[in-house]
Amino acid sequence: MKQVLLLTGLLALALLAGCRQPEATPAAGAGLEIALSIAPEPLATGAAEVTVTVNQNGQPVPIGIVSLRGDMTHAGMIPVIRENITLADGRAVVPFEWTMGGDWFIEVTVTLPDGTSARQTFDYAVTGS
Amino acid sequence: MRGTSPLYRPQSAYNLLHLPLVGRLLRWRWGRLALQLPFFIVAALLLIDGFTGPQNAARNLATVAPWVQYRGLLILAVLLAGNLFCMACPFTLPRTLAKRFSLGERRFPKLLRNKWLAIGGLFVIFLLYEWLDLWASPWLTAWLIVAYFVAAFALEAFFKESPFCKYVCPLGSFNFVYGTLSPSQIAVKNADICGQCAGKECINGSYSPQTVIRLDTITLRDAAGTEQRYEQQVIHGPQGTPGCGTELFAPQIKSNLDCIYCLDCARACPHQNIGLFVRTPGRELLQPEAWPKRWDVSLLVICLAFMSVTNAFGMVPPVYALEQSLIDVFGFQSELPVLLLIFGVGNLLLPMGLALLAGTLSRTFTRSALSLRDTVAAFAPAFVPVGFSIWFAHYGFHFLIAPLSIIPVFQEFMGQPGDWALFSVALEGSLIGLIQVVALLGGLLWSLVIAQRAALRLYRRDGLIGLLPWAVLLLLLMLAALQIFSLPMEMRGTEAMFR
Ligand code: SF4
Ligand code: SF4
Repeated sequence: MKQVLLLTGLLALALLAGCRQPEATPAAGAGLEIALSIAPEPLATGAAEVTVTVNQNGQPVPIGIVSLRGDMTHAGMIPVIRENITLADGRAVVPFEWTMGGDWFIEVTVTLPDGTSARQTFDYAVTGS
Repeated sequence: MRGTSPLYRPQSAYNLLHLPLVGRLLRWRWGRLALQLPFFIVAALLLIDGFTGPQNAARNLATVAPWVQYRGLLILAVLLAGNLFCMACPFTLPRTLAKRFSLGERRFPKLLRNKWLAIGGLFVIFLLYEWLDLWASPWLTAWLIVAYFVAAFALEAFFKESPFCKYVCPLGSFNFVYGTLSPSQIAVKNADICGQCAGKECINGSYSPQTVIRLDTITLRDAAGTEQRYEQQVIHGPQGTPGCGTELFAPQIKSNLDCIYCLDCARACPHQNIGLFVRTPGRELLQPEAWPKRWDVSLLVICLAFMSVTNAFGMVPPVYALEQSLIDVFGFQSELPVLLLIFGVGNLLLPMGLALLAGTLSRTFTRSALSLRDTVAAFAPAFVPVGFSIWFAHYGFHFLIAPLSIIPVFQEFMGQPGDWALFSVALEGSLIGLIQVVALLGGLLWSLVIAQRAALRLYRRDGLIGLLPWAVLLLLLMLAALQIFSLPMEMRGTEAMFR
């Protein structure tokens, strides 16, 4: 009985593991250079403004879509997500919020109209207040 | 069988094993397995995600489930029900398997049959948590889970009893200490039956390589004094049930310390004489005879209360200033010696030193002849509520700021987009703060009542002066906790200091 239960459990587990699909990853790089600047400095909990700059081969990309996801390195924090923000002349200003002091990283995904896409992560240390 | 103290049963309102469905499940031969299996599957999922998933702690089951959900729910379960997490612990699932491969009937070394290893285990786990930033690493957390399985299996295979649960496991030690607050406890229904029970299967188990049948004759008297006699067939055999792995003898249990709620005793008892009874929460903390007068047990409780403060201290800005000043003074090149110093002082030296000081002072003030060991043992239970309330405030905070975050993490684990917007609900910061303060003050009050009762019991008219050093110590602990929780939390690593 015990063995049957164990086996059933392990089978279910194998099935679950098998169901797992790899996350769709946009092509990294593609000649896109992403830069972030955040105000106000020094970084502290509360509202912030993130400026995303995207260049391609040294020139600002004319148009595109930008998504941001801010996570804390600590498990269990709700991420700050800003999606589908229009990039104009290689620049987008995104309202953001540091919800807690600590180590953060912001993952920026840029998608151009031709489907070119890039993703980059930026680390930050935010002071609690 | 151990001990010869009188048979004991708490006044109780209700036997939870009589609950309609749950009671049946718990009493069922495979009841514990049925509870462990889901947790075993969860542990396996954590391993899969920890080793193969995104190394982003906020998006990985291996970090979110144990460091946020498990800790928050555990603390609630232990307070409201009992040691449910040990009951369903997946680490001991291979126990039967380990017993099959048993390398002998050795007992755990006598020198280690105490709580010193548990204190060491707790010290090490909290040190590793900070040093390796386990809260930020799914991969390392997965390795920690593997280490738990290996350690539990190895100790079960090598030794006769369950030394991992009783002497080693830091999670179990935590649950044992705070399980003393729980509103439930294992006890026997009728002590007279135990007096006539020949096999004491609750502790000895009913396993034997060959089938052996015994007949127990039990004589009982009803309220009117009429004798009733019955015979009970007791079968031992290869399908038998193990006895209590942590070697508790059911009729003598007066405390939840060391009870993993496995209910093996209830299943093994041929007279169906064991129940899981509802009782007054924290009942044993006011009963001196329920509390062992041992240094290791007393210091485990006191150190764990201090660990609650240092653990929370690791999350607020002054810890970084302290680390920096230690680096400046001692020139440390890595974080480990810095943390060893902070944790060694905060988690071991300070609690042990202050407990000895408070004990010595109360003995001196009252000119008591009671030994220092017995004095500390009398006041140690007072550190249970205060310690619990600090853990509650800390773990509750992490849980309440993102109670449903496990759902989008699981969605992502299954290859779906995580619905973070829907499951981002959190309690208001001010409400969490209020809950923390209420819990902390409630814990302090409860602790003071226990300490006051102990002082009155020990010193009678000198009770107040005898209580003073302990009350000051409890108050200082609470003030430190209140100060920490009033600071902004900063969840960050400290590697940058050593670059
Ligand atoms: S096996 Fe049952 S009846 Fe016998 S001593 Fe244990 S609890 Fe009592
Ligand atoms: S067998 Fe031992 S540890 Fe398990 S529930 Fe009974 S008394 Fe507690």
